[in-house]
Amino acid sequence: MEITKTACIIDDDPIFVFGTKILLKNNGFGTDIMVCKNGKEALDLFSDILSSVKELPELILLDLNMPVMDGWEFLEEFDKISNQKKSCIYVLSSSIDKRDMERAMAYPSVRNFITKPLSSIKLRELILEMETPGHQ
Amino acid sequence: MKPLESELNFYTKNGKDFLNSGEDGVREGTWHWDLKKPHFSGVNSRFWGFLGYDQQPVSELPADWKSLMDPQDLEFFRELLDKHSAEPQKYSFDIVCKFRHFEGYPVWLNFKKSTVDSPKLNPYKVVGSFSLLRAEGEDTVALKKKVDYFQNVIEASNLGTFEVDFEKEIAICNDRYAGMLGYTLEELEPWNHNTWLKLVHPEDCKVVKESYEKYINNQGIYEMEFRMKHKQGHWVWILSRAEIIEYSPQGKPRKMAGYHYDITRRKTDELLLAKFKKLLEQSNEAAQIGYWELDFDKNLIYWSKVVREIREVPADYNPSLDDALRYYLEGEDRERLTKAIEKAMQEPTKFDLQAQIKTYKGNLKWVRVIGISEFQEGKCVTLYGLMQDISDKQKMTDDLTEHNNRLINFAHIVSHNLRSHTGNISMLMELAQGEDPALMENEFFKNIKIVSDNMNETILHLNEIVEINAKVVTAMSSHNLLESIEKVIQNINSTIKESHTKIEINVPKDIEVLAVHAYLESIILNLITNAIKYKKTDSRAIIKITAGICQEFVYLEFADNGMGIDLDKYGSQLFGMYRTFHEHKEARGVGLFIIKNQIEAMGGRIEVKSSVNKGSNFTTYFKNGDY
Repeated sequence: MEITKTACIIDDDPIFVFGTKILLKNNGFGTDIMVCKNGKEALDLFSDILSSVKELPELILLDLNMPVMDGWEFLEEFDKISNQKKSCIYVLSSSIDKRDMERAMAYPSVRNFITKPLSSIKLRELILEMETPGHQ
Repeated sequence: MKPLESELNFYTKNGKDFLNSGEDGVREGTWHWDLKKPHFSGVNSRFWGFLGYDQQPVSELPADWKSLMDPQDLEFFRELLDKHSAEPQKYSFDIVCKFRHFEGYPVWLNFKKSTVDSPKLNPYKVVGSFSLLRAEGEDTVALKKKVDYFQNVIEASNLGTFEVDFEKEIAICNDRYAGMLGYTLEELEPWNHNTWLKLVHPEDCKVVKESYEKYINNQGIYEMEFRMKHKQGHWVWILSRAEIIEYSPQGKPRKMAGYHYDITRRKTDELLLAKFKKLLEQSNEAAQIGYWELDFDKNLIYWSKVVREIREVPADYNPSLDDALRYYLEGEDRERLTKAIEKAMQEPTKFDLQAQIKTYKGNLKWVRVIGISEFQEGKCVTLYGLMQDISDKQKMTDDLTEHNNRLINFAHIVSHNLRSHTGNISMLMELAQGEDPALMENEFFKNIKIVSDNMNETILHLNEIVEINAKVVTAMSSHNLLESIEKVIQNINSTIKESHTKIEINVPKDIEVLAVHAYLESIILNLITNAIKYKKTDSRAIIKITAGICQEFVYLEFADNGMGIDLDKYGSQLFGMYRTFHEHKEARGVGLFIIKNQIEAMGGRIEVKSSVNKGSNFTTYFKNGDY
């Protein structure tokens, strides 16, 4: 009964991407997980998707510290082009600074803030939350 | 026998002819005096006429005519009479004396010794005539009055007068002149220029001599201040003024008159003031504190040496009122000062602020300015205060702040970057374990897992510390202390029960502390669990919690009967990170470090007393929520 879900990882850390891919696959996501190395790549990708009337990935995992365009800049731009009613972005960061969390949560497209490292337990909680209708 | 009666007797005895010899001259009366028996002296009826007693019956006349004479004049009269009798060639007898008229006003009688020899009735008898000065012309009376007046003024003003006769080389002084120096006039004899200079202070002598010579040679005025030696050895400050009153036909000074005035007290005050002024200036200079003053009455501005140095103005720079503000940096700094000055000019106030100035040479400096306004009749007349160069202090504060910020940033970066790596390790471990559960059997793998977990924990602590200071600013609020304590105890109730710990709480209900809620609980929790953790192995823990108010602080004390800590050995490290002092399986060495940081971030402090095997006593201080 498992439906393969779509996901996108926006992170410049190859080890994190490697691990997260495995975790996602283990938890019912498809093999075609999109990966962007920074905010710019992701923004370009999503602009294409939106203009071709395709669906955005159901789950977007966004890192904050990245070269070229960091997570914050991405959120600014994404909120401009996004017409999503549902917030589907999860910010994943090593930061445990409360100010970072509050700032991230202030974006309408951000569903939650998760502190790295990501684990199976955290991911399962996240999926549960994701499938719960409505906002927090 | 009354003097008058005796006088009458005398007259009858000695014949009326003599007595009445003066009656014919309208303006003169006669008097006589017995040197051996002064009370046998008398005047004829003309005297009573001059003094307005002529309408009075004889029985109503004063018993003694001399009682109507001014006492001092009477003394002069007698002295002159004595001198005259002794050396008639040297001293002629001619004296004006003051009497009181029947109607109260003064009249002056001029007494002269008769040039005609009196009948040799008595060798000691002096006879003469007297006349009423008024009758001789108002000028003389006025003059005598004036002399009298000046005499009074001189006496009242405590002036010591002197008159120098350059030709005779003597100086004549009054009693006060000599008294000022502790002498009598006789003791000063002979008094002249040289003897005078001998008493002048050696240090003043040169200047005094010069001024003196200058004046004698028609230069300048005779006015000087100098010290003279008192009879008792100390120095008396004298103000001396004089003027030449008589010149010889050749134009050479013949006589000079002047006065001495004792200014010791004023001079001592002046010297003391000058000393303090100098001291103040020196201490100001040492502390680099300058004095400034704005005088709105006279539109003047004064800057002391240090103020000028701070502003780096040239030596000949003359500041104007506009300069008061011009040196402050345009914008915020100048506005702040302008506002403070405006306020001070509206009501008597004191301001104390720090601002940046741009000096005359263009350097930027931080100064502390203190100003005080002074009012007279509701109007601000002066504004004065201090200026101090605090550039060094300000730079240090700036440096420290910057340094601190850098440290916080550093800690953030370290904790963040390290976290991403340890996070990755944790994730990889988990994934590997999921793929192959047998991996956990491997010792290496097991140890790597432990290292990874420890590292995660360390970084978590590091983050907590970094966060403490950031949190406090926004999250301080008032909390009831007793409620907070009870809540913590409730949370760890099971631990307390299991360990059979006894907790005695003696905290007043109404104490409020200003704190971050989470920190307050963390502090209470840590101190209680520490006491339980480090109890003596052979007895149960008894924790006494007491609190009270100490001005702006609330103290909260945790006293236990546990193992205690050797403070001599570990005191300096007690609140350090990762310090453990007991071989305890749960000792992590973070608790005290974190709570110390939390307490200090909230503006409080923590103190500890402890002795090994007796127990520890931690006292925490919080800001009083009601203060």
